[in-house]
This record gives sequence, structure tokens and C-alpha cells, in this order.
Amino acid sequence: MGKLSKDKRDVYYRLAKEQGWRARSAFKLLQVNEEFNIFEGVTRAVDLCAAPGSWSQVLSKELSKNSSEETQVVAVDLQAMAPLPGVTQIQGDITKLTTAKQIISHFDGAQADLVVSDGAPDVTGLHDLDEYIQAQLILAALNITTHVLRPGGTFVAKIFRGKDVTLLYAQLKTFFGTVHIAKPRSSRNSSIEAFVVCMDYNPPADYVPNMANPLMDVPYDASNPIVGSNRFIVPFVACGDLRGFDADMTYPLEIEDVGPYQQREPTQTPICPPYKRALELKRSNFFNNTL
Amino acid sequence: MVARLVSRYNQGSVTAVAFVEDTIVLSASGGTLALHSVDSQQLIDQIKVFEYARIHGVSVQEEPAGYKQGRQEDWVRVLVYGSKSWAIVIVNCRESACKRIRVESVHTAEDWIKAAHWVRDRETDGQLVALATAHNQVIIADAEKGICVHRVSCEERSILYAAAFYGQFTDELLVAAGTVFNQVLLWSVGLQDSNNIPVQQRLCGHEGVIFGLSFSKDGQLLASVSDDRSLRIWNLHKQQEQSVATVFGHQARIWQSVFLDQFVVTASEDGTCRVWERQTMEAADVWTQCAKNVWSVAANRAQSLVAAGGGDGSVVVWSLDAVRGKRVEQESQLDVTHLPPQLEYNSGVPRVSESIRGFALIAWNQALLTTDSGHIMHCTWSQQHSKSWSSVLNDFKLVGYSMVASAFDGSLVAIGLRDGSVILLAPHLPSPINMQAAQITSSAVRTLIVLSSGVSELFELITVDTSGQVLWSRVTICGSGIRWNAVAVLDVPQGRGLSVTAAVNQTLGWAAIGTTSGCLLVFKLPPLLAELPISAQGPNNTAPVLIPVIQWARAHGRHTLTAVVLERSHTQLTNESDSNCTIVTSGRDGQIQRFSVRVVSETQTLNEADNVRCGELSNNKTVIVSRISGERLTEGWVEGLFEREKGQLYAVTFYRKRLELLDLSGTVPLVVLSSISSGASKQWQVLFTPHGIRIGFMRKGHLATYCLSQQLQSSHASRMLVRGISSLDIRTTCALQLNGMMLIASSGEDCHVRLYRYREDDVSNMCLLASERRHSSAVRCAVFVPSLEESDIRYLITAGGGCELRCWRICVSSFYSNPTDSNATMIEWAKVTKSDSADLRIMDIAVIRTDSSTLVAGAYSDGSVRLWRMDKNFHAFKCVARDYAGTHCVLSIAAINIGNERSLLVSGATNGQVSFWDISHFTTRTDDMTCDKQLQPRKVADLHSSLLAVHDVHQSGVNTIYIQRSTENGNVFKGNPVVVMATGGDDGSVVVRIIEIDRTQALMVSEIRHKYAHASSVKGVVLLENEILCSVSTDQRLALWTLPKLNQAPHTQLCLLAMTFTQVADPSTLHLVKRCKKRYSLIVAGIGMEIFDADTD
Repeated sequence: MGKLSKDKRDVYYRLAKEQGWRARSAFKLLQVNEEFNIFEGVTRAVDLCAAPGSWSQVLSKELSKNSSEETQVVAVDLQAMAPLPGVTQIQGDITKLTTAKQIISHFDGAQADLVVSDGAPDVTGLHDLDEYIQAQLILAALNITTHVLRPGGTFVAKIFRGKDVTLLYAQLKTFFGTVHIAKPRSSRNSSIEAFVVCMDYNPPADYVPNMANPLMDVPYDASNPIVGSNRFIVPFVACGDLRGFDADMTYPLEIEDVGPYQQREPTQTPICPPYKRALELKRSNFFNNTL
Repeated sequence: MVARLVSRYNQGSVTAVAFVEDTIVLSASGGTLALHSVDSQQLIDQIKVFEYARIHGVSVQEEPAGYKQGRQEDWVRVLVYGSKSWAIVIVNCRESACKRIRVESVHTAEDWIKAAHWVRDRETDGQLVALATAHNQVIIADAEKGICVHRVSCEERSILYAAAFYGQFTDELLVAAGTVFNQVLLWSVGLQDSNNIPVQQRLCGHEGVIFGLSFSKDGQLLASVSDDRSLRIWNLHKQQEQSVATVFGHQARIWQSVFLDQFVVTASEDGTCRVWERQTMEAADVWTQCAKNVWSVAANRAQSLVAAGGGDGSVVVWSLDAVRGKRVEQESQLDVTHLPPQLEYNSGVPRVSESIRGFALIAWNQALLTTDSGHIMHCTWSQQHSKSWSSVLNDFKLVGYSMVASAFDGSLVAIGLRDGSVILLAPHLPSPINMQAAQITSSAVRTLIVLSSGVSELFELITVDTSGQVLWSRVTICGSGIRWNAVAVLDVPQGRGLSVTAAVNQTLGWAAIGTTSGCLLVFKLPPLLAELPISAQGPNNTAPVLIPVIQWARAHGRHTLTAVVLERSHTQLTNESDSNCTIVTSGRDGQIQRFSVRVVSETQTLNEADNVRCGELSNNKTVIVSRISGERLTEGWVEGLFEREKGQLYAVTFYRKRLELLDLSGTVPLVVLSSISSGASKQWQVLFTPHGIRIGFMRKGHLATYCLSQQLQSSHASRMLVRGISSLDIRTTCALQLNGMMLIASSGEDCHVRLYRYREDDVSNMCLLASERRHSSAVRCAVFVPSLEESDIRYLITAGGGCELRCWRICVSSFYSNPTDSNATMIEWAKVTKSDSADLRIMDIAVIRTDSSTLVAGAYSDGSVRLWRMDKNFHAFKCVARDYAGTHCVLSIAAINIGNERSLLVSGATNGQVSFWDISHFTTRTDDMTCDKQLQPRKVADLHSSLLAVHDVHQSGVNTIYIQRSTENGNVFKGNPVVVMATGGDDGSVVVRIIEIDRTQALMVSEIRHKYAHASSVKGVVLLENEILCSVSTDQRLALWTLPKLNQAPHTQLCLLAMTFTQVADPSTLHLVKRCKKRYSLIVAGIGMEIFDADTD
């Protein structure tokens, strides 16, 4: 797809470039906030799986607007990411206790008010496997969250609404007072992704955070059906202004309210993909010369 | 009311395959396991193992070494696993058994299973099962009861994408775990429960997650495949942390590998399997199966066959013997020809040093040979490798020197001699073999090239003598004999090297020569060239001399230019296309180069760049030769290039005494003669015949040949056990009930529109009738035009990306006349492809037909709704109305006749709104389109003025709309028509509204809403009469809900009647077919297709 074409087809991609966000996903967090006010009163926030950093950008910008106190944002990712003003970066694994300790130490021993995670694996196309891996990523994020989030705090994470999503709802409900499933208007209608907005962190009385053992997803059985009307139900909320832009809509290049069209390069170019070597080989005509 | 949902047909990605016996294959799609026979290519039996999980792997129990030979029972136990479930399945190998697969037990694990393995306890010899799970744990369980007996964890708790086991007994069990952090961890399970088993060996190097692991039989080597598109081999014995081999070749991610004694086979996202030679790790073969994803691969115990499961649901069995057949490693595979004892043919004094000088393969089982003693011998091979000989000629001129060349089919043989004479033989003419000889030059003939002209019986002969003179002559083989005329001398300027190859094509008007110094000479042929008869003394007159127009020095570097082929240009660059051609050359630099040759009218002086050369023609025209492409075929030499049929090029390469024959249109060598061939410097020939390919070469003074018979090729052909449907997402399906069968149309991301016949009585018989690819972008919707009378001709409308709208004319006559062999043909009948913007997508269409007209309503991604009228013959679309007022992408659309010649159009958008239009004005009007076209340029009405109402129905996208007339209270409410509208939203809710259609409004009478009908986006809703609603969602649930009576609403709710799991991942469409009263079929499609029967009582 050409650059012009992508601009026409994906208005949020274009807006992200125009407004200087590192990725279009920035709008998703902004729209979740429009509905749930998750930034209210937040002074310490953690962005897990932060690269390329658009959510950290949103946090650093929006939190300071909301709060009179000094706000702190910690971004965690396995990969290094270009520095952002007002954001402390930790290059680390979210399944490690040391990472949790590092986060707390950045907050001078205090716990976070908000933990967000927009992480997702590279999908394989086997939907059950992709959904499982995404669930494990959320559970890993939840596990570290139980170490760093203050009671009453908020956790927002990307989920895939696939066949086993109810299991995940059940798990999250044991840790939070309210759980909503949010679909920002900047997330495409056709996309399987949505966001869980878990508020009022309230772990079970006997729960002891433990990084050594991964949180496992709960098994489904008769008391926890995945089929039928008795399953765990999590309210769905579409967020973002209806008068705003539609992620599925094909827009002309000249849109009113946005101003004259100007073609722009992406704010952040893609990180090094795993198939980099294969791509290099392809460019050097390798594949034409072998079988 | 009761209702049952029964799955009748399912096809999706084949995520696991295994051989139970050498020719019995198990394949898994969704939770279903199917048993196939390779020999009969029939489905033997199938069974659903998991209701809810997809099968990711199958492991057949093998009798361990040291146990009694052969199986004691007729059955085999198979370990099946997928997500968190595993099961023991019994497969009966006895052919007479009626039920061949039986599920013995199904168990659940706490975590996702990545690998499962049969293992024994050394002490008790009890049969156990080892499961590796996604958090790097291993569970050893009792195979009978499924109880966990032993549980261990590795010290490193990374999430795994892949795992593999090695070992027969629990105490020696080794695990290879492929992590999300691109590493492979090896650890021993041991006999103690432990949470911290240390990593024994860590294999680093992959640049992406590991998707597949497989051990070699002896456990010394491990193969890993990854997101980084490489296959790596690791030596475990040497404790090296570096891979011993890293190979690339797949164009996308690699999912699985299988490690065999001689090969490693990999299955990839690119839709192919690749076969790698285990010793050298060189690519041995590529098997192309489908457009995307080969998920699974397995070999039989004999390692002769490999089964592969595709993303399109296909199961193909490939032959490893075919791979071996083309790799000739041993002398015993060759047919070596020795001369018979001299007494049998040499009446004179026997020579001491008699040997074969030259040879020409002239037919599948015949060759001509020249001998040192001056004989030309004819040899015929019989079936049993015995040979019969006859002497054709004995001439002292042939003693000690003879150069042999022949046409690629052997119908003309030329033998060049030391005295400058050439003997021509036409061995295919009835014997005595026709022959002609002439002295054409004064010095010895060094090179001969026989070219087929494209006309049979007409050949171009190029001869080069030791002085470097190149003579072009023409040979015609006619019933009476051989006619031979000289045409021209091709001049090779000084310093350009000796010519070794040449090509002439009178039709194209070009000739080309390649030389030892790598120079390419191009000659423009005059239109008329006199032919000068050649007598025994040579040409009667001096042939004209042609001077090259282009001299391209070092076209292949300093290396010899070994072969040249002239082709007609595929692309027409100028109007003077007749004078264009393409030259393909090969060289000892291992490359194939392509040059385009064209003539431009004006004199041009171009700066000769690296890739362009110009030459002047006499008539003020310029010849421009430009290098189009160059590709390296081998590390060694490309020695030959042939065009067997138009555009079908073959090349012969030599590298370290290895000869490879390659079909340049494919990527796989047809034949590879390993170190047994004697190298490029010796004589060799490739003969193509209808029987197959025969390669001959001189080896140790004898003629050695290898034949790849057509028969052998076909006996090694792959076998399709299951034909695939579509390897990319299916976006739309629609169906017609025809004479008890269903005609199903489907399309989607792969842009193909496909027609299937589906018979309820024979579920394995989903038969592809037609497939057309005309859409250039993903097809999102397909609808059959309602047929007003029973007719053989049906019309299908499809639409999708790029604003493309198409009508297909389908002829289904045989559905009625011959149901068992029914067929359908499909042709494109009308289309709209021009659009304001190529990025615009048609999201959905609805077709409404009245007595007077047929209208197609389209939902567009720019928020518009457009109405197209079809002409009487469905041969043209014309846009009649548009509503551009929408601010959100329109996702779904439906239309219905509501009586009194009134028609209603409804559409749903991403903002959750449903809009209603009264389109009666358009459905009742018949305007003659042909007339319109001429008189009025374009008159498109504003549909917005017909808008009746906009309802807020869902929180976000209205993915699907189904509408029908209410059957209650005589269809009317307050005198107005009443419709039932069902919608499914991205918000997971299902809404049914009863709507009264006023002249100016669409008013909601009542609403039934199930806010939490599904856990994910609802992708399809249909109404089964006015009683039951059926919905399907991304959560892979298909649900039936009872609708309350109209007058009971709004106090009632949708009541769940039945719910089942669909094996189709990411379902995107639901289509309803009514079979008979209270009997329905529901087609769910997405990644795969599943058909359910819904029977209500």
C-alpha cells in the first residue's frame, strides 16, 4: 500500500503523524480516558510494553495537565526506545521481580496509580494460539501490576476478544472492583483488539504477589462456564466521540477541520524486524538464485 | 421449542498431520481428526476429538526397539493434543473395521500443551505420556487414566512457542524448548519433581521466536525454525552454542520441520514445504501447496512420503522418492554403454585404442556414436539394458576426430571432421539412415550447433572452424532426404574470442553469437537472404558476410558465454514490436542474463552505460540492446540453455562435477547428477522426449546416460488427499438450494470467487465447480440474485475493495439433469471497476428484485450508500441514486419488498446507527438503460431525500443486518407494513426491532435486546422464520435464540435455545439456507468453513 493510500484509508495513522504521536495507538488511550477518566488524580503511571512509546507520550502529556503535583511516568520494554521527555525508561523483562523493584524505586517507594499495557505479540494467524499468547502477556502484566499498583488503582491492557476471552475477564474480576471492555473508535471495527479497563484494584485478601510463579489463566469448569448466559459478563463500552473520526472510513486527503493535506513521514520508523536478515537476502537477489 | 445444532461439514487449517502406517495419514482440522488412505486418496473415517480445542499435534505410539517385530494388535494408539486438552485415540488398521477411529479418553492440562510424547517408565515399563507446556514445564501423566504422576519445571520460565522431546524412557527424557526470546533451551526432565531444573544447553542465534523444533533420530542434532525465516541445525553432542548450519530460502515464517535421515523438510507461511539435503544443507526441492501457510508436516516411517497440512484445509502427500530420483548419487543409477567387441563391426584390423569419440542421443532409446576407428554406430537400448548395434558408416575421415551435435529432439545429427567437412544424418527418417556430407570449410570443424527453427523439419546449422569462421546454413529434412543450403557467414571481429555458441531466428530477424571471451555479438538479419545450395564440395557461391551491429564485450565478465537463446519479446516497448526480441545468455560465471533488443527509428547517440549498448543500422535506425536482468544460478558454470517450447527455458549447470538440469520457470532442479557426472569439459547432451528426459555424458571413455521417465515422474507425483478451499480469510458466502443440493459461492481476501456443490447426503463431497479471479482486491460480499422462476441461469453479484462490483452468470443445468455429476460454469457478465478512489471499499451489498427491475444497493467505506440498477439481461450496472450524507463507514446493508410495491433499504454503520430508506421509487420504475446511456449523460438521484429514519441501535459498528416481514397480525401495524430487523454489533449485542414503515418514517414498535449475547463482536445474524434468531461471533459461538411474540414485547428477552462452538476462527459471515420446513442449514465462514444443520421442533 502506498503512503498516500494509507493516509486515505487510515485517518488515525495520518492524524498521528500530524500530531506528532509515535503511533496511532495514542488515540486509543486518549479515547479510553475520555470515557473512563483514567488519568484523573494520577501522579504515578507505568507503561508496560511501551515501545515505540506513543502511550508514554500520552501519559506524560496528559497527566501533567490533570495534576497540580509533579507526575512521574515509567516506561518498561524489552527493547530500547528513543527517549521521551518526562518519561523514565527501564529496559527490562516484565516477568522479573527486579523490574518491579526498579519501578517502585523510581517512585521513591510509592506505588503507581495507573498501569497501562498496549503490548501484543506478532500474530501467527492461528487465532487460538495468538489469543493465548496475548492472554499470557496480560497475565504477566497483571502479575507485575500486583507488585506496583496501589489499592484502588487502575489497570488498562490490550486484549484480543477471541474464543477464550471470558476466562480472562474472570481472572481480572478477582483483582479489580470493576472491569469494563472498551473499544475506542480509533481501533478498527474489524480488529479483534479491545481494551480491558480494570478499576479499583482490590486483590483477594489472601493474595501474596509472587513473581517467581506466573499467573496462570483459570480453568473453565461447570462453575465458570465459557458458554451460555451464566458466563462472566463484562460490560462493553465504545469510547471516543461519535463526531470524531472513524477508523474504518475512507477519507479524502482534504478533510475539513484538519487543514490542508501534507504528506509526512512516520514519527517513528519501525523497529528492526526478526526477518531483517531474510529481507536483506531478498534485496540482494538471494532468493532468485537458490531454489 | 427445541432446537439442535449439528456440524455437518468443516474445513479449516490443517494444524497437524501424522502417518499411522506407511500409507495411512491422520490429519487434524479444528478439533476433528480424519483418517485418509494415500493409495485410494479416500477419507476413511473422521471423528471429533475435542469439542472446544483445536488439535495442534498428533503423536503415533511406536513400538520401542527391542520389542517384538510388528504390531501385535490391529490398532495403534495415538496421542492427540491441542491448547489445554489431550486425548488418546485408537486407530484401527484393519481394513474391514467399520469404525476406524475411536476416542479412548480426553484429558485436560493446566496449561497450553506445546509438545506431547509417548514415554515409558524403565522400572515398571508402564506407558506414560509426557507433555511440555507453554511455561516451560513438563508433566508426565498416566496414559490410561490421565493422572499426573510427575511434574517438573525448568529454572527459566519463559513462554514457549515450540517444544520437542527426545528419549524413550522417563529417566533419559530431554526437552528442547523454543522461547519467545529467540532461544532454544535444552533440559533433562529427570525423575525428581523439581521447580528449578537447570538449563543444560542454550542455543542462541535465531533473530525471531522459535516456532518449531525437531530432533534427529539419534538425538545428536536438532532442527529449529523461526520467525526469522531461517532453519538452523544444532549439534547437541558437541555442546556447541552456535548452529552448525543456518539456511534461508522460505519467503515467510517457518512453522514446522521434520528431521529425517537424508533430508530436513520445513513447512512455511509462504505456502510451501522445502526439502533440504541433510549432509550439505542444500535446497533439494520445493513443494508449493497453497497461497498461504503450510502448518504441519510429517513423514512416514519408511521416509518415502511426507504429508503436509495447508492453511486452505488441503492435505497433500509428497514423494521423497521423487526428490531422491532427481538426485543421482550412485553409478548404479546410470546406464553405461560400452562399445561392442570390434569383431562385431570392424572388418578391418582391430585398433588398439578403440573408444567412443562422440555421441548423439537421437530418441528415448537410441543413440549414434562415433568411434576412434572411424565408425558411426547406431545403438538401441532394449528394456533389459541390453543393446543392439549396427554400423551406419565407416570412413577413414572420421578416424581420430569427430565433433557431434544434434537437434534437441534428435531428429538431425551433424558430425564435423578434421578436413572441414560435415556429415548430416536424419536418423528419424526410415532407414537406410539418410545422410549427406559436404566439405564446407578448409580447416577442421571445431564447433557445431543445430538449432530448431520452430518449424519441424527445418533446422539452422552453425559451424565454426578452427580459423574462427562461422558459417550459417539451413537444413531441411523432407521425405526424399536432406536439403542443405548455406545462408551467410557471421563475422566475428578480431579480438572477440572464438565463438562457441550461436542462435539465429529468421522470423524475429536476429542472430547472436557468444564467444570464449564472454562477448555477445548481435546481428540484424536482412529480410531476404538467398540460400546457396551446398554440394559435396561445399557451397556453390560465396555466402554473404554479416557484420554484428552490437559487440557487447564481457557480457559474462571474462567468462565464456556458453549459450544463447532468442525469444520473442514479452513486452511491446515500441510500435515496431516486430523488430524486438529478447536474448537470453548463459555463462561460465554461473549467470543467466536477459537482454532486450529493440530498433528505434531515429538515429540516436546514447551514452553507453553499463547496461545499454547501441548500434547503427544502415537505414538510419538504431539498435538498442539493454540488459534487463541477471541472476546467478550456480557457483559453477551454466553450460547450456534450451528452449523446449515457447518461453519454456531449461538450463544445465555444472559445479564440482555435479550436473543440474533446471527448468527456469520453476525453482526446482529437474535432475541433479551428483559427483558421478564428469564435469562440463566433457561432452554431454539433454534429450527431451515424450517418454521423459534422458541425459547423456561421456565418462571414462564410455557413454553414460540417466533417464527420468515420465512414468517415474508421475508415479512420484504428489497426491491430494483433501482439496483446499481458500487459504486466506473467507469474507462472504451465499448459497442456493438446487434439487436437494446446495450451490455455494464464497470469496474473500484471496480475491477468487469460487462455486461449490455441497451435498447433504455426502458430506465429504464439497466439490469445487468453478473458480475465477477477477477482483483485484479482497471481496467482501456476494449475493445471488433472487430467481423469479426456476431457471438454469443464475446471477451472482460480488463486490469488495477498489469499489469493484461484478455480476457473474452461472449456468447450473446439470443440477437438474444429472445430480450425481452436476456442474456449473461461471463467467463474468457485468462489472463496475472505475471508482473515484481505489482506496474505497464496498463493505456489503443487498439485491432487491421486483417484476420490473433489479437493484443492487452497496454500502461504501466513505459513508455513502449507492443504488445500482441492472439492465434486463444483467449485463450492465448503472448508478441511479446515492446518499453521501453518511459520516461513518457503512458496514452492512439489507433490502426487502414490503408489499404494495414498496421497498425498504436499511444499512448499519460503524457508529452503531441504522438508516432506513424508502426505495420504492427506484424499484417500481423501469427505465430502458440502453436508451438512457445515449440520451442522458448521467443522472443520479439523491437517495438522501428518501431517508425515512436513523436509529441508534448499537454502541459501535453494526456488523450485520437481517430483515424480513413480520408474519404476525397480518403484516401490518396501524395499517402500515411491519418488518422484523435483527442486527449484530461489534459491542457483542444482538438486537431485534419490530419496525412499522410509515410513508415518511420508520418507527420502532418494540425492541428485544441481548446486551451480552456474545463475548465478542457479532459477525452474523439471521432469522429462522419469525421464531428463532441465529447469531455468530468472533468468540466462535453459534447461538440460537427464541424470539418472543410481537405482542409480548418489550417485556420479554431473547432466550438462549442452543449454543455451539464453531471451529471456524474469526468467522466473518453467516448464511442461512432453508432446506424444508423447520430444517435449515447455516454456513459459517472465516478462516475455513463450517456448515451446521439447525433442526427445530
